[in-house]
Amino acid sequence: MSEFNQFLISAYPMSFIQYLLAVIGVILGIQFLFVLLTFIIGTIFKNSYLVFVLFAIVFGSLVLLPELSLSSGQLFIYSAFTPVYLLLNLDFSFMIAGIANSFQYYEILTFSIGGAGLTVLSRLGYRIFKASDL
Amino acid sequence: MKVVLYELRKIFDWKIIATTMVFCFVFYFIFIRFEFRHYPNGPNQVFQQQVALQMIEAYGVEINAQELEELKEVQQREIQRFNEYIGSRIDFQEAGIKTYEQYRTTESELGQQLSHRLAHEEQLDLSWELQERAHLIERYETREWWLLEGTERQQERQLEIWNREEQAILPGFVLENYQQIITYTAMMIILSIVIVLAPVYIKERKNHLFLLQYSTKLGRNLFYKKILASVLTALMIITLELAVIFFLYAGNQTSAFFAVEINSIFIWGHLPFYWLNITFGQYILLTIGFVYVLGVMIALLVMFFSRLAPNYLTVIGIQIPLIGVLFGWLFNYLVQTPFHIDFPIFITPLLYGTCISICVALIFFQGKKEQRVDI
Repeated sequence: MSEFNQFLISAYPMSFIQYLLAVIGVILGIQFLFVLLTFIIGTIFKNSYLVFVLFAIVFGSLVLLPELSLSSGQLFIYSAFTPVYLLLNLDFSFMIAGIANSFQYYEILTFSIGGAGLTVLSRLGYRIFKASDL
Repeated sequence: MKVVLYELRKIFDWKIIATTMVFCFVFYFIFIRFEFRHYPNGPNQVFQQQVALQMIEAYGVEINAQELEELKEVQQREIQRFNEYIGSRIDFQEAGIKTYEQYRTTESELGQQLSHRLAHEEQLDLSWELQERAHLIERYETREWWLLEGTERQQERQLEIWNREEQAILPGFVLENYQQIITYTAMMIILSIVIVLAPVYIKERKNHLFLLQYSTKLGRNLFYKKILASVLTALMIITLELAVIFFLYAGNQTSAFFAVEINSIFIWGHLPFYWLNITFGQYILLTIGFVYVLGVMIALLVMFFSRLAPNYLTVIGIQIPLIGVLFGWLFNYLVQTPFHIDFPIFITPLLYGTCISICVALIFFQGKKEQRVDI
């Protein structure tokens, strides 16, 4: 039973220890995405204090993203492919619940899409950082 | 005075201000907007508010036993109207429902289907209104039956309120909605004060201004001027954000309840009373005052840490546990439900007294040290 009084059914035949390790893996993956995100903000803005606040703003905006795209059903579903949504709905991971009703490989998809996008962006950020003045 | 103005100009760096504004915007959308958008939340609250407003218009802000009899007559008349309406409908006649009582207690499948359709799909106002008025009447009449909870003094206070002849008419969700709004607003104000004021000293340290300042007499006296500038900034931030939030709160249209006392038996829930006999309007003013005190306190504390911390990360790192303790453990004593019957009456003033004296003491301690501190 989850927080929302919903029965959770695992999407994969996993033992408990496998599930535990998988969730730890998901958390590490989220950490990695957040590190990349921080790196991007950090390369664009030089002030480390502003980076801290900006990270909070980006996090909050990603929380708000599903609400802002409510008018469009397609966008509403795609707005869930963010590390923030994955982090806040961690008890749904590897379960047939929430977004995983429509995408069975939601976690892997999020990591690959998020990882690829953020890597490209951090490459860009690195270039900006290299070209910036003292 | 001129120096204070210069300090203010330094604090109002456009980058920090713009970031803070965006931060407040996001914070508002996540936490506060709900309380404005979904108020009153659902037909129960809509009609409870409507009935309460009718009662206030007819009997004033308090209701006594005699006025309750009048209210019951009103209820009877409305039930008559409902019965007439039900009588005019063939589907209800076929299901054997002729009166309000039958409509409410029907157990047949057809009857339940019909009554569900009437209330939820056709959304007949009268059925909701009757239900909410019946709740309020029942709450007034059966208040002596409710079990006393808590310690001896809490029980005394509950008995005192229950035994009153005149009972205040304040639906619980009006108060709760305001408490949610003021809590999140206070959090938003505190976070924006922290964001704006934390870098004040760090910036100077990074630019090696300390070497210049602390080798002159004027520079050694800058501390209190900076404190004054930061308190002024805090006051500006508080006033601005409260003004915006209360401008939006005006849309909830609760002004009819401002003269009603907050100790109302029409608030459901665990120990819903307060130690103070104040009206809802006075409660709002009280919490606004608390938010001002809290904001200035936080400004002093942030300036102290900003003076001591060697870099940005330290000042953030010190403040996270402090703000966490404030929001997590102290907030319902300080802002959310001050003087609630759930905790002793002296807790709120005691906490404010302690926090204020700690902050002022830290500032004076640092102010004294300023004169002879090494660079």
